[in-house]
Amino acid sequence: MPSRPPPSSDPPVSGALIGPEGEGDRHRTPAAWVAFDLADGTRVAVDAQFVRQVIPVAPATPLPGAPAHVPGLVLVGAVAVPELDLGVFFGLARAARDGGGDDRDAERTADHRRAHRRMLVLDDGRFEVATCGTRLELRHAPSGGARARPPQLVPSSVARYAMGELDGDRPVAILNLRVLLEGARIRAS
Amino acid sequence: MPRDDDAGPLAPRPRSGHGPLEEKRGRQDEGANRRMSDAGFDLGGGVAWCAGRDHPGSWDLAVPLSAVRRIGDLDPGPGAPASDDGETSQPWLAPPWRSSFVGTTEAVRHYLEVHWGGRRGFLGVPAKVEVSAAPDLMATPAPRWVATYLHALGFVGLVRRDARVAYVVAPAALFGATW
Repeated sequence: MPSRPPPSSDPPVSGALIGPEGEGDRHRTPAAWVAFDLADGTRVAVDAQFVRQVIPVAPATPLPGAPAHVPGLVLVGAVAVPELDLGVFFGLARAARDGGGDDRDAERTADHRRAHRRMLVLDDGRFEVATCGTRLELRHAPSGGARARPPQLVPSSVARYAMGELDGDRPVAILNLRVLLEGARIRAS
Repeated sequence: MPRDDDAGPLAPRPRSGHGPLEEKRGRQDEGANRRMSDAGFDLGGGVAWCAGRDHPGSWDLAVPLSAVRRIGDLDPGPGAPASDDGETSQPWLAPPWRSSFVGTTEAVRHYLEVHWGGRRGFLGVPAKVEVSAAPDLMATPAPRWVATYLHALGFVGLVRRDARVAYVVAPAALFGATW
């Protein structure tokens, strides 16, 4: 684990680092983030305005031909929404349906799902997904330690989709949801 | 500070900035029904609800009853079952998702005889088949990008019965035809 830099006393970074979720809000700094843990303990955060709902974990109906990071569709109210397994997408965990591989990974993913009790329904205006998370936390800017810096300490596969990191007890990757969902969405071949 | 067992401010809430949620949901509902209608599928006709194989990656399939001529058990042994007019060499249908639904050939226990556009074929089903009438079924909208993905695979849309979801196949797609 790399050593952590000392806490910064600089003002929150905005604009190019945190703002560019989309064309319409290029220079906007989110008012709040929702932070949560993935199955391997990696902590991530998304702009709270894109969190449409938090629901109990729902069973997923597998989607034919979908990649491993889309375990299936879950019912959110009356609507079927794809589940996005961020741990699998980032290469931090094996898909539960894969079975084999590292037993500890599969067990950890299964335990995590059982322990989740919560799914975040994310909607960036183009794509809707539901994703599991534990230790949900709402972090307001600029108070509450919601200061950001370029991604340094999170795994590189996560940093690729991160706009920055939040200060805190441990690094929290701020995900660029638009880039993430565009990269993770399923496509017909 | 809200933790895992206290969603607090994360509870469902109205969202600003992307238009009224209910309005969007309404459009999705209309879209789901319109796609089914365009494909000539009316929930009023019911479906043959085909349970997927007993496997974590399995899924259920709904075949419009208007296209199902017969539902039968598969006798052990190779070859397709005979159609009801005595012909014996009807083709097994092989949509692109067949292996995902059926698994191994040995897993097929039942079949549907499906007719469409003067053609017929057999669709293997690994687990049980039930006829679901319209009152038990709910057309289930999905986000447009998911619907587009499903459309490319030959599915008209989704229906749910209780908490289970099934993919509704367009009969034409079972025969490899555009629809």
